[in-house]
Amino acid sequence: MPIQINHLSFTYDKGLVYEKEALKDITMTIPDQGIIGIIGHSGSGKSTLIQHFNGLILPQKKNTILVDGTDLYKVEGSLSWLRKKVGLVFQYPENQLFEETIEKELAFGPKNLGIPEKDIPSLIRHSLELVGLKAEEYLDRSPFTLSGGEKRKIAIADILAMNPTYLVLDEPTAGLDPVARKELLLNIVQIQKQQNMTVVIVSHDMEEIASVSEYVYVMSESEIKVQGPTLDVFSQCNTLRELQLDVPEPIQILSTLQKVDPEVCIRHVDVQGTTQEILSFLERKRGDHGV
Amino acid sequence: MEFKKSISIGQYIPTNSIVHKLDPRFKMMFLLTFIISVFFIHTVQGYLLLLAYMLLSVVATKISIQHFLRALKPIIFLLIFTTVLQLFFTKTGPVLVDWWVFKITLDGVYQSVFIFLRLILLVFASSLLTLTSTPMELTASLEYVLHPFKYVGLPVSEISMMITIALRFVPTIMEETDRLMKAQTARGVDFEKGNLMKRIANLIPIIVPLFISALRRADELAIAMEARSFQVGKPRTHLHVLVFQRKDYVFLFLSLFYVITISYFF
Repeated sequence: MPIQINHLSFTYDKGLVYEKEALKDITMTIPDQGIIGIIGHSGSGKSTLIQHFNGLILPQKKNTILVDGTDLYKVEGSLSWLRKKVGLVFQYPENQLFEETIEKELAFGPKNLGIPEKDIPSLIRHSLELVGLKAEEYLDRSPFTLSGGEKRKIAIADILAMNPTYLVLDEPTAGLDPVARKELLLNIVQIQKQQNMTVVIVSHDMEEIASVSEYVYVMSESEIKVQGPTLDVFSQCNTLRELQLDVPEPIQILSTLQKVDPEVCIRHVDVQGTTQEILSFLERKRGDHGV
Repeated sequence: MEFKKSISIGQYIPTNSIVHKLDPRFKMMFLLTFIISVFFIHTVQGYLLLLAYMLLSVVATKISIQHFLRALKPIIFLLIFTTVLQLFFTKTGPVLVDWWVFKITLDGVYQSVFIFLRLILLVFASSLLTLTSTPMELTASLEYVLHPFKYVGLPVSEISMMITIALRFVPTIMEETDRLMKAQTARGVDFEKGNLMKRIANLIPIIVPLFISALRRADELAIAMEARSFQVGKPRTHLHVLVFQRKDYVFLFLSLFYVITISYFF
């Protein structure tokens, strides 16, 4: 069952002088599986939106958010079930590490959720495996001895150890070097496939979103401005530029070429596919001039 | 969850009022005099005159009275406690109510009104300063007020630099705390449940990362300051030099005159 959001609006500090509308009439569906991208500049409301997914912010009206059919407006008591279902990885999650060993760090979430002690070791191992780290090498180490990229992976594993159905990542690659960034993105795609879960990636980096997600929501000024399958959205170059978002370079090149030759297809965001497309464009050109 | 709102430090609220434009050193010196006079005056009548002055100033700031009242929130318990204590435990004067163990006297009522007004005046006066001056202005004026102590070896500029830095990081650290609380909540911590021990234990996942980042930040700041040739004990200039203007003198004179006259007669 999906996360269903209907006409969700949210205002910070309602009724005060500095009240600020952070979300305006958001409607979206987060399906059971797949990778969903949410793009927008800082201040566009994306962080406020994802905090609604696991009840960190509760909706101000009824029937605006339904997680697996449960209206979050009406929930009472402990929200543990929701925190377990929707794993939320904040921006710079490595800042939340605090335990002496990685083992304890990873056990923190499951313990809070009341998962039986005996099940925890296997959860921990599985989650470390998912982020591509070897359990034997890491379990006894202090999280503070790790590199930035590794710390980030541990922080993601922290959430994965709770075995969530949805994994929501806020700017997962922010502040990482290009190599670690690429590795992490590949890793996220693998995790999604292996667990057959839903991954929501929030980012301002178009290229990043383009490379992993299947469906994209573009947010700006607290609203969803554009949505659709990734390539459809990205080929709307002009709309995106109006929203002051960078169109990924491959798509920029292809859309320029398309103006000259309508046969050029914008189907690729990766370098290889784009190269292919450019090559076949050049082939055709050569044919035209009879060289 | 909304940790930020419950604490108000650096609560500057910008409006274009005359009070905002006054020299912060004037406001600080006036606050000092005002507080001293609050303790000097020993009649409710005197307090009412001060309160009239205070309310006039509050109106002049163009800031909604709500913000001033909010400053009372942290001391609301103290306020009620002392007022009630004065009301029931003053045994002198004509008796107004005598029921069971309760005995309320005229002096008791007088005393509780007195103490109530005293606390309100003190809070309003300090809010008047902090709501209308930026934290930077405040430290600059503090440096000015402490200036004479330089000659007895007090490192005044360093102290004011420390206060400036501390104030600068209060909002940052509060934001960070807010974020960490949310991040750990997402990992299943329930900050609103459990017994006292459990609640204290719940603070560890907040405090440890907070300390780590505060230390890291301090280190980075020290390097950044040294890179800009900061040296302890060297004289420094200021970006915004405070200059007393005629309106400052006029206000200072009038206000001091009013407050001191009241202190003298009541």
